[in-house]
Amino acid sequence: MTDERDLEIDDLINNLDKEYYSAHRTANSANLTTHKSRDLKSLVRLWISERTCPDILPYAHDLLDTMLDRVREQVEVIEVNTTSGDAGGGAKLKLLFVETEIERVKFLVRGYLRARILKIDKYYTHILNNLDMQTRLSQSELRYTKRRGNQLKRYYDLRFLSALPPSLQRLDDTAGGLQMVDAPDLDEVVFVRVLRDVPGEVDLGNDDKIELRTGNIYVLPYKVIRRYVDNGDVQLV
Amino acid sequence: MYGDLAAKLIQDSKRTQSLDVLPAYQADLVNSIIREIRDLQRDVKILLDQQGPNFRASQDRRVSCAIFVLQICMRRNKRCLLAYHNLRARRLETLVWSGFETKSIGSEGDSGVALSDRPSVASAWHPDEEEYFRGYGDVLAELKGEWTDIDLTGSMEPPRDLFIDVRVLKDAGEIQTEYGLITLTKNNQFYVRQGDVERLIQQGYIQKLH
Amino acid sequence: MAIPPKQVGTFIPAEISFLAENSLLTIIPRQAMESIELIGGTIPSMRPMRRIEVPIWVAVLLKKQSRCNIVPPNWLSEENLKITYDAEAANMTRFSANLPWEWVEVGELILGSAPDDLSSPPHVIRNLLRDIREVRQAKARAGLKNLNDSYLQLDNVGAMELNEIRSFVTMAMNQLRIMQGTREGAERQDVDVEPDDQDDDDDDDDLPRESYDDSMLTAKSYQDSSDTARNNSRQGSEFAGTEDERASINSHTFGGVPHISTQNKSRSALPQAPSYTDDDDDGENEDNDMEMDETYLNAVNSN
Repeated sequence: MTDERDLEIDDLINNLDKEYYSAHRTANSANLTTHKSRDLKSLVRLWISERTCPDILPYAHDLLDTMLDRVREQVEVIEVNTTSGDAGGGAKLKLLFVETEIERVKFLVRGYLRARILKIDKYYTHILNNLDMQTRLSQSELRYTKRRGNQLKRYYDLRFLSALPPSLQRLDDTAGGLQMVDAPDLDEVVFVRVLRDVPGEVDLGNDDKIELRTGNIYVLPYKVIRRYVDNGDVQLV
Repeated sequence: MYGDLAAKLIQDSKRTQSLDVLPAYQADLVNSIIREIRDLQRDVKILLDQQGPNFRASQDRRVSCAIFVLQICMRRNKRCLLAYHNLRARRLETLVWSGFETKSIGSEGDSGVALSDRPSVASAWHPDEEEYFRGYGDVLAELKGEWTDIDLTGSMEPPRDLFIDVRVLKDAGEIQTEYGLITLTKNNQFYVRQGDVERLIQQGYIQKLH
Repeated sequence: MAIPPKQVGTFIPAEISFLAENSLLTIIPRQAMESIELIGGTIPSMRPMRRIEVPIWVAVLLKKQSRCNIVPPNWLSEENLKITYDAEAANMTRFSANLPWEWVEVGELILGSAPDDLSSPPHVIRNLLRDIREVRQAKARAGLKNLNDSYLQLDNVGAMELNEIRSFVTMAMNQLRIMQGTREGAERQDVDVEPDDQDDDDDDDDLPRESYDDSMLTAKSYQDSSDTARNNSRQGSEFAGTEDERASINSHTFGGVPHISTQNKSRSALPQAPSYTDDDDDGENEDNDMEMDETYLNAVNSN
């Protein structure tokens, strides 16, 4: 009850969360909070997953857009409150929380994007030769990959590549069985935590079988656990 | 022995990994390896020319083995060149990410930033590396421009203590903060936004309290 | 690199703490405060003495300003920590289930920001936490002796504890896997020496380039090893235990793997120059060698 009333007051005073409210005007405050907290949790999960997964995961368009919108709204809240000048003790305290949280969210988004760029930089030739990989990148990331690839190719060309015999000038040649293109190694091990029981056993491809029971923590090759990560039975940690 | 030069380049790469500053570009070594590859290629061609147009590998095992070895050496040399330049490029990129200033190499030193670094840095980089540094700088700047809300090149350390307690060590006049004007008088204590006073802390005007 | 080397493939402790700060904690407000809308939810309005749950980072900020008291979680009481310690010490092969995932970080955060809210003297709690940490670290080290290239089970390990062994376990298991792959590759080669062009591509996918000797670095493996090497050197300083202890983990781990010999290692399925330099070689692989040569010749001829 009290929460709801406070919410309304906040809404009126600060005109915050405009879009969210218009979309969820009928939702009660508990629901609203659930949505928001779920989204932040998703961002945290994404941040962890992208940092720990050997592969590049599909870019989370919707979530990123939502979170960035909310960051902008909160920045507005700060601006409105600081320029209005009244800045009483309560307002200051409120801004402290708003601003601290903005920094936390920015840190997560930044880390998420940079974890992806780390892998993009490493596997750029593979990405540029592989449509499936490209669909996992945002337009912005793909543009970056191409532009950086061009710069890097130019550096290699200038320094040595163009001086080599024509048959050796490619960056993606495979002749003689020596693959020069670096691709994600899905056999690399990851740490996972089981979120819900999975019936039966999981065959690890060798002689080993494991059970996935809620709370179990395993280290195993990403390849064998990938589908359970994708469907949310387990999470990367 | 074929490949010895390339091995030296790899040794230099290993050393590079442990150094904080990018060591001098091994131009002579790189050129020698390129020369070795071209020599090897010439040898292959001579061998093939000697065999005439109807040569088939299955017919002359000796010749095909020789060619195979030459090819292996060429490819290995190429891989070492790639590894070396890849490492250098990544190091240059890391510098771009950390906000290292290009002006310390390029234009006149208008600001004092990294002036002391200039001679060592400038002589350590190949001109093509300076170009890559700038080129990648542009690529990253564009990406960063698409993410102005979150400051893509900002800190990778988790945010802590947005506001901190500080004590003023020497009078520093007034500073404008988001929360109004603060007069920094010696021995006064304030609870301030860390970002507003970071410079003053570095310059020794105020001190962070724990 | 877009991420500092010390944060590649692992997290720094500050990041693990940062994550823990998102979990909820009960506080008792000392002052009233209006609710605050945040990106990740709402800080409920506060009335003095009416308990609410807030994220730890909010609790810490409020506590700093003396606007609340923190209610330490049950597991953090002196009594429960003693029970936990006994449970940990009683079974040296498993972690007890008495502690939450983020116990190390939450313990540190509360001890650091609200020592006066604990029901026992802070140093008592701190010592108990340290004892528990040590006995669990001993278990982790013992567990690492059983590392293999298939999987490792670490039920009830904490987030911080996991992160402390992450680099080592990752590196060791990946290396074991690579050695295993090389061995299988070598065995396969004994039966089927078929390095023709198509097959080479396949081999490349499942055979590690690291099977070359160290000096034969490739653009790929070189880059990889540079990343892990940095992580590992970092790991060295973070992993609990002395140099000697780490060394013993090493030898136990690798010593426990059977049949890995240098002989196997050198018999990679990838083509190796020396075996072809012998002009008089007319072994059983002749035909296949010839196919390989054709590939190379084609490459030359296309110039």
